Amino acid sequence: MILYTARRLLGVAGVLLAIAAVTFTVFYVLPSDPAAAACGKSCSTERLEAIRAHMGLDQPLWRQFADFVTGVFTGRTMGSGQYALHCDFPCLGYSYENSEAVWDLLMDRLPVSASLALGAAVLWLLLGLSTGVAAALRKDTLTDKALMVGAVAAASMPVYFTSMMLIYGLIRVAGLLPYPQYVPFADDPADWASNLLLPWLALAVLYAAMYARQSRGSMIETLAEPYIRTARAKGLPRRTVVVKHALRAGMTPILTIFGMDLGGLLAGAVITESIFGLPGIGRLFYGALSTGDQPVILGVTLLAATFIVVANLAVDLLYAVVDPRVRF
Amino acid sequence: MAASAPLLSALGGWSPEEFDKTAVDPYLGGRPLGPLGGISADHWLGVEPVTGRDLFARVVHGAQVSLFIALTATAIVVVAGTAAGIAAGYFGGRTDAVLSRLMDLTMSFPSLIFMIAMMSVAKDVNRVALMTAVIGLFGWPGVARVVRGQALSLKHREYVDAARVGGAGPWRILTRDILPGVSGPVIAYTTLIIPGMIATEAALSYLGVGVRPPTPSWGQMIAESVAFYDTDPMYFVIPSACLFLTVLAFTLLGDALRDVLDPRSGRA
Amino acid sequence: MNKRTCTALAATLAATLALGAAGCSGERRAGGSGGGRNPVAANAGAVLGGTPHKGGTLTVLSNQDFTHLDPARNWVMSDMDFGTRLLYRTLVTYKGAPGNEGGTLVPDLATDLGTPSNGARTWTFHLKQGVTYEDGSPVTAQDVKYNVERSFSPDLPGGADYAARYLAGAEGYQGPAQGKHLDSVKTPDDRTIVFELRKPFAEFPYATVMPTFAPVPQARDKGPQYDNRPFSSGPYKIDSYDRGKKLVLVRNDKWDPKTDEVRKAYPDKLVVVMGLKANQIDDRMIASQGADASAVPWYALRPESAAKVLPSAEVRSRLLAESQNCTDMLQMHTGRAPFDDVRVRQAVQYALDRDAVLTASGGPALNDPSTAYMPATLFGGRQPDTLKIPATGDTERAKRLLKEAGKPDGLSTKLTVSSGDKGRAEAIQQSLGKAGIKVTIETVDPSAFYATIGDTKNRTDLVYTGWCPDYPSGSTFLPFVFDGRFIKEKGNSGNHSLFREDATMKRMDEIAAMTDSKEAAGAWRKLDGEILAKAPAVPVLVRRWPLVLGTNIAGAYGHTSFGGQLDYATVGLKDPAKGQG
Repeated sequence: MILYTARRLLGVAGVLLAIAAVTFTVFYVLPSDPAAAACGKSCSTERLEAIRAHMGLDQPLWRQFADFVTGVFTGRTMGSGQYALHCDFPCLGYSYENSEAVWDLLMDRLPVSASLALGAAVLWLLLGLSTGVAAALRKDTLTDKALMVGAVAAASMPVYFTSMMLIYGLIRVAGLLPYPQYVPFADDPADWASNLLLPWLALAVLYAAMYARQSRGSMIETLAEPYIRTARAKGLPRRTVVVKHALRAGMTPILTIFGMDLGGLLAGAVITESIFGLPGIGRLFYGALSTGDQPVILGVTLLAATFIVVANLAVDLLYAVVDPRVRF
Repeated sequence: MAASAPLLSALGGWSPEEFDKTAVDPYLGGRPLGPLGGISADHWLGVEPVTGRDLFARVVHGAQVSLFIALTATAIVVVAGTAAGIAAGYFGGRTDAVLSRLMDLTMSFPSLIFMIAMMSVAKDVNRVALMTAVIGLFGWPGVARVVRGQALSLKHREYVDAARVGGAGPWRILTRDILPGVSGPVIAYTTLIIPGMIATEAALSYLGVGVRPPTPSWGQMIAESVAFYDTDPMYFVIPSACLFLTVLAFTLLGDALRDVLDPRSGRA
Repeated sequence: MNKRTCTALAATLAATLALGAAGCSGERRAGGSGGGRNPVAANAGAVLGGTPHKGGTLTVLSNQDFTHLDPARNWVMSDMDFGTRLLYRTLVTYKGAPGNEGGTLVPDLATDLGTPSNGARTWTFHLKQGVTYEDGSPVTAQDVKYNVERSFSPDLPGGADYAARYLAGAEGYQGPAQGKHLDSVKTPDDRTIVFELRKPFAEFPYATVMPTFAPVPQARDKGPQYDNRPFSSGPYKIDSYDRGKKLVLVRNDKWDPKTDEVRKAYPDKLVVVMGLKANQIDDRMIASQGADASAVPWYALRPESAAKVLPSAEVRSRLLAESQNCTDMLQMHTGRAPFDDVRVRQAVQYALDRDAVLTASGGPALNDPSTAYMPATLFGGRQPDTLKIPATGDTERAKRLLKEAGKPDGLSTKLTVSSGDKGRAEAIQQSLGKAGIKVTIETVDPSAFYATIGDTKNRTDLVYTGWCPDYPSGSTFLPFVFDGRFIKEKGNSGNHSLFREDATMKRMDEIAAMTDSKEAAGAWRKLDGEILAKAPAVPVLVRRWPLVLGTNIAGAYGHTSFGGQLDYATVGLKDPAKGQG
């Protein structure tokens, strides 16, 4: 188990390095000139060159990449003289746009995205799994069909459509909730929740529908397994069989998608955050794109990739806990 | 519907890029005149606020763009994924190792984020082609995994061994024996990913990094209409409903095909 | 399952068809409710909400972060307003008054508007006594000089380039970070600063309104990170600043109102909430519920929201819509075919349907069509209409002109616009298309826009961009837009028609040398019409800056010298008790 984990961690590092390299190259090769953007509306050629040199953009690509990677581990000093900036481990560089350390920006925004993702995840797991299991237990009845038709429909609705409907219904017409404006949990938990409720719902509807479909299929398969029949034959109560045996095995495939989904969302739900105006990582990323803020784009991409691979790793390790059949 | 877009919009009498100033009220931020977003005998689904462009013509042409991108991307994904999957599954060894690593790597990419990034920095290129390529780029490992598994199990079936003993070259075995064997799951998988592809195209266009104006696409139309969701609800509802119904239709079709073609999940 | 799916599909198709069928049963209506006077301009030149009471919290709802608050880098109208009215003082500033009075200069850090000598090549300013920073230390002439030097630094890009353009011996200067200083700015004592210019410049005091001429003490300078925490010399100081999320300003109790005739500093606290969704800000301002009554929007109302504002007299009474004073122009590449032919350019002038662009831009309520290059303020309030082209264009005339130019079949060309101008570009595309000029639109992200159109070799024939005078003088408009000597191969700005004509340039030099400002103003106006006849660019429209204010806001007006942005020097609350947050 330990050996396996170590090997996987090594793989994670390799994947991240490869992703960094690809992202770096893409933004170098594709035409975008952050120096020109920074230079402003009246920019002389000499000033442009000076800015480019200051940003380190006059260096060859491999050199910039090497500097970046070393910087992540050892920190680096950028600029010289009175304006030198020192950036400590883990140094992802400084935003071109506002000279903040990218790492600080990410950590500043992470609570918003994490609040959104985790809250929504709780909702969609509750909603999705219960619907799925309920439908599976009542397979081929009218309830099952109604639930599944609902799930297919909900899964087909783009998140921006659901969001606008929720905004219209719950804010404009009913006036039940405020326009979302992020309040940190530590400031006021009730405000935090009431401001996030709408975005949670919007995200949860989509995912819950997918999870309902998945978990129904998975549950039906599990319930048909011989060992479940054995358990039932032994005379164990139906409840025990469903909760203790079937649910546990039936949930393993769900765990995989859950890991992927949560990992992806932690690093920012771009559309949801931008619809509701939540200052999370997705919004940071979207803003950085429109200003060509390359260090931030790279930072977010890496963070997102990290979440995904770590989530995958965690899921694989969790398998051993959830499903007794899996051994490393 | 998509293929006959020019025909259909000709029927409506408007081109998707034609302005109709008489259909909007410039003093109210260009709100369409008349009820339900300006629905009239002239404009069957009403008009776009501000420009007065015919919504029916735009929805129909938008369908063409959206579906073209989604279907082409799907084709790319399926062809690339099947090729990679068969190669990995059949040849095994180093080929399998390299391809599997590549699949893992691609799957670890935060794909939506990366797609947005790529679409937003690329300039001076054919947007439709780029978008198709970018969407296709991140989809292939899914197909490849399914195919690889299938190919692995087919590789040692008797009829394949028989062909090999009979002196058939690897190309012949791959195309004649393995490919038909994996086609069932591939077709089922294909229909399952099409809705995702449509949604992805719409999401990218929604975020403003998709096709460029005045070419309409559903995602882009929805993005623009969001601003009018309460002043001109029909403008928002119509493209959203089209997107919703299309995704729904493909999902149902996919479910049905999977039941027929994929024996494993026959019970679902 | 299989069968059910087919039914569902059929139902789906049927639903689609039904939608189409439903579409056929509407009623036809034609014609618009246009004409008449602009319902939006009612509050022009007025102060909304009366005189504010001291205290309370003013909330600013914003969809974005400030570009730069560092005074050496701040060169965006709204940001300059915010920075110089709240956080730092400049040598001279604009009067805090609505309407044309807002263009008047008043001394700020300085005791007067500066003393010229040596034929306006040397300008001397004396600083007021008793002006201090937030820590109580005095503002010195050296600090003003230091910030002027900072504006040259490549580490601190983005700021106004007036210092670089006018100061003597500034060529190749790279800022103070390496210990080098500018000799052309002298500080004989702590409260005297002398600028040596490379050529006579009678309007120099207008340039000293720019944040470049705000003080920054060297000990506080943190280079690029100064942007996140400028050191205050104004009535407020930064309490906290989360980039892209929230900025909180609190009173700077070391600021002495007796030294300041402009800033009123009514609220106790200002909170700028950033990163909100633009349409939600509009909705919140229109509703003005609860705490939003004490809020103002940072960015202009979106054209789409006009339909929610204009029909309601109550909301309209809270609407400011001062002109931005910038002219949007369709500029043509006069340096190469086909637009080197004046007849082709005139064809564009005639083909363009300004009305359609206006509608795409939010309609006549939020924009004024433009019939001259310089905005109305430079014409004493109203632009002349020398060409008398109908607002909807004259397609037949355009076709004739094209025929005369030897292009009876029309032509194809490309247009570059910033992505925010997409709707306007589509309207241009549509109207030129009618005359046989086929336009392909290339939208470019705002950040890359100026770099893209500044590349004179590779850019498209047409670009859509505007120009704003930095202060009310024709000298900050026509020479920037039509002087061929300012053309640069890369990083070109202003003169995007690449218009180069000896007679025009000669005339511009003559006017610039005039000492009588009235005579100069008249000459600029005449020149504007002469250039328009040569059609290097088509003036399209002048936008307004519409803002819907909360019901508890007082002392509010759009400041003409800050592009119609709310004057943050005078805004406050009617009832501070309601704005406690």
